[in-house]
Amino acid sequence: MFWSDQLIVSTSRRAFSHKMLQLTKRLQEGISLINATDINKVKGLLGRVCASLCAGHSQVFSEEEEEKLSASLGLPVEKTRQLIYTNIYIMQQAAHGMVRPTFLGEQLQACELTPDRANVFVEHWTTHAKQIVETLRQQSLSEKQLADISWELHLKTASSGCARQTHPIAHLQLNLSNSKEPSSTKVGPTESVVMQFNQDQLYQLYDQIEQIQANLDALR
Amino acid sequence: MFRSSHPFLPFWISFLGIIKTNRVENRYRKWEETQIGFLYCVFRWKMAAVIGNPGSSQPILFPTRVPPEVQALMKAANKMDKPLFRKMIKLALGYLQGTLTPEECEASMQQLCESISPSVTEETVMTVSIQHAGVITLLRTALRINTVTTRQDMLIVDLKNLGLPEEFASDVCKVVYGPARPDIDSQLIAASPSLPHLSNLEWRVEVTISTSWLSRVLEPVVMMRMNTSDGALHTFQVPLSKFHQLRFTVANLLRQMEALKESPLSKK
Repeated sequence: MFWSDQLIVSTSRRAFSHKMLQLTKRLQEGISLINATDINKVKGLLGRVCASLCAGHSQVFSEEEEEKLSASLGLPVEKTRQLIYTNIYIMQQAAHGMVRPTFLGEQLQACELTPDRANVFVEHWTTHAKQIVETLRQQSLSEKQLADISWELHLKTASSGCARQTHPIAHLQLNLSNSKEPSSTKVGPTESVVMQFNQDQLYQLYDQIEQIQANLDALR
Repeated sequence: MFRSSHPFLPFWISFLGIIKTNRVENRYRKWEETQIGFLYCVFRWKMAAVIGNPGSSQPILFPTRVPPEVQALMKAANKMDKPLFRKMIKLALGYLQGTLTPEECEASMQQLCESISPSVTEETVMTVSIQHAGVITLLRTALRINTVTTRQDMLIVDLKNLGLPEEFASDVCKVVYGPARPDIDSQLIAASPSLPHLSNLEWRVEVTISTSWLSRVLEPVVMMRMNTSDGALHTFQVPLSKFHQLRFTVANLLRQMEALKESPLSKK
């Protein structure tokens, strides 16, 4: 179960009066904005925020969408942005601590969010928590990551040196993605490394990979 | 019943069908056999020129034309002595296999020129270079022929027709059919055009404990550093799912290579 191994952690943390949300002035303004917004609109907004967090983007709405949203909410663009940001911040803090939904509800109510809106947050957290945490787990600071692998198997039959031969050759292409900002929608340029292996070289690679796997198994 | 697809039989034979009697079948079968026999003879006659049966005019090594450097070599070979020819063969082999560096090649050429005449003039260098080129072309073509279908004595006959003396021809044949052939083959295969291969792989397994986005991660990740033969260095991270995909790909490729070796495609 998703929550079971976190239970002990969060109770011990609660014993130390762990506050999920740091009540800054900015956060308080954001919460009062949420309280002022219609609850259905809050639901829609939060749904969209959760979807983009699951996908790993930090930019939820584009410029035009933000303008449309502020028009429909009747707020200036700055306030809309603050509203969106507050939603993202709450969800991110929930993910950081991997909190239980009831704990989240309590914390939100302690921050003077109205109970029904707090419930909206709790519902969305219950549905999307797993996905959001998985996405955040995969994010890393390193520049190049192995994105994709493709391969080809060739049989060399003739060359300028040898008229007839049968020599199997494997081509392996590793696509490395250069991700500059892990949470942006844009992916950097992909570098591709192509290599060829004959049977002996492939066996050597296989041995090394098996060593890595043995080490990974020893971790568990 | 469907034999009217044969070009020499009349088309209406297909309408005979079940009505065809044994007598009619026999007559047309003999006609068919003579047709096939005739075609076979034509086929054999044309193939004989290509396969090179003894007594045919088609040479094995240079069927279209003899390159000028080989012609020059043949002219000079009559006056050459055996050790010199042997040295030239060795040098050419080293060049073809890629085992000799350019400096070593040059030094050996220098030695050859000096052994011919103590005073090295431009003319001697020119002649030696042309002969060297001739030996290389000759060896390269000789190493390409199929040692299974072409017999050794046929190659010797062909070399003699080109103008090479008897002993030199046997020397060349020793190179082509001799015991060093598998080594030569593997060197030639290695020297053919290829993509860069992996020269060194270093790796590291890391466990991320905590990040700014998530306070408890505990996710293992593999860092790899690959050195390829063209000198490029690639350092990258491999997430766990991609690592499993890589492992599966490599195992799959190995299995397919084994299957390919067993299959009849690999058995010449």
